[in-house]
Parts: sequence; C-alpha cells; structure tokens
Amino acid sequence: MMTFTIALRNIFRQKRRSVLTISTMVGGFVLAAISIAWSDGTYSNVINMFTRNQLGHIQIHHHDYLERRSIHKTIDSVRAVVSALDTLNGIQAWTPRVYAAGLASVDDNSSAARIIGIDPESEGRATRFDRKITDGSTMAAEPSHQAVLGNGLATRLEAKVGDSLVIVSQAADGSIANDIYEIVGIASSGDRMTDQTSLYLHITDAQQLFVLGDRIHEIAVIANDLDYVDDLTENIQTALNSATLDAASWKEFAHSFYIAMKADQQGAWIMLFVIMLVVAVGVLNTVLMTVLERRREYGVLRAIGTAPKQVFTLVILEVMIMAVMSLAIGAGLAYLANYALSIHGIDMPQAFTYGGVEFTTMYTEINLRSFYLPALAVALSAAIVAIVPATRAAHIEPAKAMRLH
Amino acid sequence: MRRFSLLILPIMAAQLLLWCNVSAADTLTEKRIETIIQEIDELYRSETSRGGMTMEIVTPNWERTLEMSFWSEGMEKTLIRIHSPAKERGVGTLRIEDEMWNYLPKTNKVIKIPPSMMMSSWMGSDFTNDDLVKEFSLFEDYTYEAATVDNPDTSLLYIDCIPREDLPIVWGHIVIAARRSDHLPVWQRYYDEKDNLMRILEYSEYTTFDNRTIPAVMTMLPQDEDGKTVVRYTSLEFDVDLPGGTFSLRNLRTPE
Repeated sequence: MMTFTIALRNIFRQKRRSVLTISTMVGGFVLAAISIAWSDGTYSNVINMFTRNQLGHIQIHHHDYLERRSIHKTIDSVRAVVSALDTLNGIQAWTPRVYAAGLASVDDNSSAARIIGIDPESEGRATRFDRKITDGSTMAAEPSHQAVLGNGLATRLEAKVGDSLVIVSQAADGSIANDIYEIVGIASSGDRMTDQTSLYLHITDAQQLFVLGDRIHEIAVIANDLDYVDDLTENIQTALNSATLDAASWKEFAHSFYIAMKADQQGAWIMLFVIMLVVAVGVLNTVLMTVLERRREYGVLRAIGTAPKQVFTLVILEVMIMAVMSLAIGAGLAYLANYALSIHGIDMPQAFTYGGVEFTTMYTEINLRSFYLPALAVALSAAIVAIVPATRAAHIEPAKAMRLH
Repeated sequence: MRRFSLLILPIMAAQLLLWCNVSAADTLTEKRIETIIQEIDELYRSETSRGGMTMEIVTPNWERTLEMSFWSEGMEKTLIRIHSPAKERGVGTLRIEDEMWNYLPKTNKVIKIPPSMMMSSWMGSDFTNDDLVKEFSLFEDYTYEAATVDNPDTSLLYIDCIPREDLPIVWGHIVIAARRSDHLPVWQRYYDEKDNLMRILEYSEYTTFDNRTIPAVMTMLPQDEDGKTVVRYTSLEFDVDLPGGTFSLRNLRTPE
C-alpha cells in the first residue's frame, strides 16, 4: 500500500513527465480505437450495401434452389413460412420475391432480362426499394402491369418512363409467357451488374405472367442486427420445420462476397498490429526516459534500504496507474471521436467501388471491440515495456547512481 | 427429315398409302426401302390437309392440354392455331419452308424463331420447333437400310435411317418400326451420335380419317427426363381447298 502511495505521489510530483506519458498512451488508444471502428464501419457499410439494401441478410428458398436455380423450385406454403417468421424475435422486415428470366423489348430493342417480382410495400420496408428509384416512381401497391427497369437495362433498351415494355418468356406451365407493361420507373441499386439485367414487376403480375399461382421463389429477411444473423438463421430454420425449405445467411448465399470480405478483414488486422506497435514503442520511450531521468532517486531509495523488489514494483505500478488513467481518458475521447465520425463520416478523396458498388463516405461503427482491443494493447504493451526499465531501476547501484546529477 | 414431324401427318399417311401399295413381301430389300421413303417424300409434297388435335404435355412439374387446329400444304407450309386453354387462345405458329414464326395475341407480337431456337421445345412440349419445320427429308438427307433389333417382333419391319454426313442433323440415326401387314408405323427411336437412345415416338389408335387409316395418337417419350407429350388427332381431312393467304403472316396475326 505504501508503494502504491509513493507511486501515486511520484506521478503527481512530475506532472509534465506524467502528462507526456499519459498522452502518448491516450493518443495510441484513440488512434487504435478509431481505426478499428472505422474498419468495422467500412465492412458493415459494404455488407449492408449488399445485404440490407439488396439481397437481404437471410434468404429462405426451396432447399436446393441456390445450387441450381429453377422456376419450379418454389416456396409453396408462403403462409406457413410467414407464420413461422412471426413467432421469431430479431426480424426487422421480410419480403417475398419471384425470379424468372425473359426477353424484354421496348419498340425494336430487345434484351435478356432477369425478372424480379417484388411486393413494393414490403420490399420498400426491407431493402428500401423506393430509394433506388432514380427516375419516375416505384410500382403501385396493387398489381397494375407496371414495371421498373434497372438503369443499365433501360439504357440498353433505350427505354424511358412511360414507354410500354413487352416481356416474352416461358411460363412455369410451359406456355409462352407474354404481356405488356408500362415502365413507371428506373432504378439504380448501386450494383452495375444487377442494374444491367434487372426488371422489376409487382409480384402478383409476375406470378400471373409465369403462371406460378401464389408460389414464390424467395423470402428475404432483414435482421435487426447484422451480428445476430447467424443465430437468427438457425432459429428460422428450426421454426420452418420443413425438409423442403432452407434458410441461408448472406455468408452462404453470397459466399464469394463473404470470402472476399473475410480476406480483407484479415488485412485489417495487420494494419491494427502496426498501430499497436507504434503505441507500444511510444510507451516504451516515455517509460524508459522516466527511469533514466530518475536514476539518482532510485539510488537514494536503495540507499535507505528499499529492497530491489519494491523498487521494481514501484516502477511497474507507476506505469500501470498511468495506463489506467490513460484508458479512462482515452475511452472517453475515442467514444466522442467515433460518435462524431459515425454521424458525419469521412469523405473518401476518391470514391472506391467494391463489387460494383460505389462508396463515397465511410462511417465508423461504435462497438465493444473498438474499446477493449486498444485497451488491451495499451495496457499490455505498457506492462511489458515497463519491465525492462523497472528491472534496471531495481538493480541500480546506490553509490554510483547518487553521484549522478 | 430430321425427326418425325408433329403435324406432318403426310408422313404417316404416306407410309400408309405406300405400304398399301407395296406388296407384303417378307423381305425388306434395299429397293423396297428406297421406294417407300421416296414415295413418302414425293406423295405428300402437293397434298393439303386440315384438322384438329389435342396435345397433352406431362412433365414432373406441370401438366397441360392444348386444343388446336392446323392446316398444311405439302411439306413446306403449316399453320397451327391454339384454341384452348383460354389463356393461350389465338396463339399461332406459322412455318413456311425452314422459317418459323410464333404469334402472341396478348402482346400482338410475331416472333421469328431464330435458328438457335430450333431445338427448343414447342410450347413447352417434348416436340421441338424443328420437329415442325422438318428441314430435312428422309429420302434426300438420309440413307436407309434394314435394321436389326433385339427381340424383333415378326409382325414388324425395322428400318434404320442414317443422316448423310455433310448435313447438320443432330441425330446419329433413327430406327423406324412399321407393321408388316399394313406398313403403318409403330414407333421411332431417335439415337444421338454416341448411339444413346434420346427419345421414343410411339404410335397408337390406328384410325380412319377421310378414307385413310393413320395412327391417331403419337406419344413422344423423352429418355433423358420424366414426362411425355401425347398428340391426338381429333379430326383430319385430306386434299381440301385452302383459301389463298392461309399461310401468311397476315393470316397468322388474325386469329379466328
């Protein structure tokens, strides 16, 4: 206890030196916290772009639909699926979809199209479909033979809002599916590949065109929290209680995207390690300086009978007390910084694209690991770094040290 | 002829006529086979016909039955018009020589079937567009010989038709079985180039229409998937007078 008091006194005795040491640690902590929060924020942002705004976090299909897509692999009991979803917590929204391929024509221009039947209302809630409309509007809530084109497809067909569009394809009963629709809007999902082929119809119109009855191909589910997706996927699978239906998380149905994300995140760990190293060297520098500067003091301590062990403990304690103070200050500052950046974001000097999606502003994400990881790094590096000077202080030769001035 | 045409009763009728003409000799000489094939080709070039049929399509995923009328002139011209189900009422197919169009009344569109789509299914059935167009003639584009089959039925004759090498015919060869008594066809088996059986066309319900007896029912059984297509002639008239312009895009566009 006496050692602790001495350590505390030592810190306040040399205010300037302590402030220097503490600010090094605080600086390191905040730097690491921001970079973690920023990198996590970037990933969440990219993942959200793909899942939250397009694919959904979780998708429910006929069990081998993902391996080999076919118009015949349908969810036949939509009502049963929906009542299963209603029993679960953690679901923010869900939306049904129908998929088919067909030939789309406007006047003399034709192009292959991926026809996506959506329910405008629930799709708006789930993937904010209405926000993707760049021209015109989304289709009416009731099926009224209206179509929305991806902007790339619209360019290829030289189509504009108000034009009529003819779709020809094969229906699920083998007949020729063909009908005329009015183009009411142009959509941009942010994903160029998607926009070049996407043709959105009201789900009921699509079911009629392809003679699907009330069968659908997919239910996309949005979870309240991206981190909860894995658990929720399992819960949905259990609740479905069906051998013919599968619930898959985005990690499964967008597997290559997930792998790319993971590889990228591993790269982020290296960056994090470098930042930690910088923090550790900074701490080492100030602690070493402190000990060297105070050799005479330690000489006196030893001369009046302090055991080497006590001197060692004293130095370590001083560093640790400063570390704890740094963490408290750092956590506060890091929270403020991350909070500000999570709202205002950092504008990229140059927009970058990831998988065809363009990103201009990155936001930080405030999460637990952006606090405990830097805290661990600062505390550990301070402790390890302090061992060397502490050992040196403990083994100082009193007579020799006291002669120094 | 690449494979048996769906609508081209001429072939069947031809076979019938010719088999009636040919004496019921027990051996299939090369000359006799050649005569049969040649007469099939030639006899029906100038014929016209008119009739009705139903097509029942069964696949693992769905079943549907079409009712339709058809008109034909020689080997070159065919017009088909669907009457039922209501959803497909008015849908038509016109072929003139090796060109083919589908008409879709709902969108008032005439779609020319590109060469790449010739092997695709006609209206979701097990018959292809090419089955309707019949770009190749049995007599000119195939060589033929008596075929030997496992466990032959002594009441049947077997002919093997092999496409000439310089032609883009997808089949490796076609084996035709016909009744020895009246030479009506019983089945045709289509093999690919590796000699795998790809599909079987079976004939049944031999019926007399307009003084000619033909199999009224043709059943196409694909061998690479489950399902079948059954075509049944409900009426059939030969050598009828067809109004001029029957086989025109204009007529295709004006159902009923």
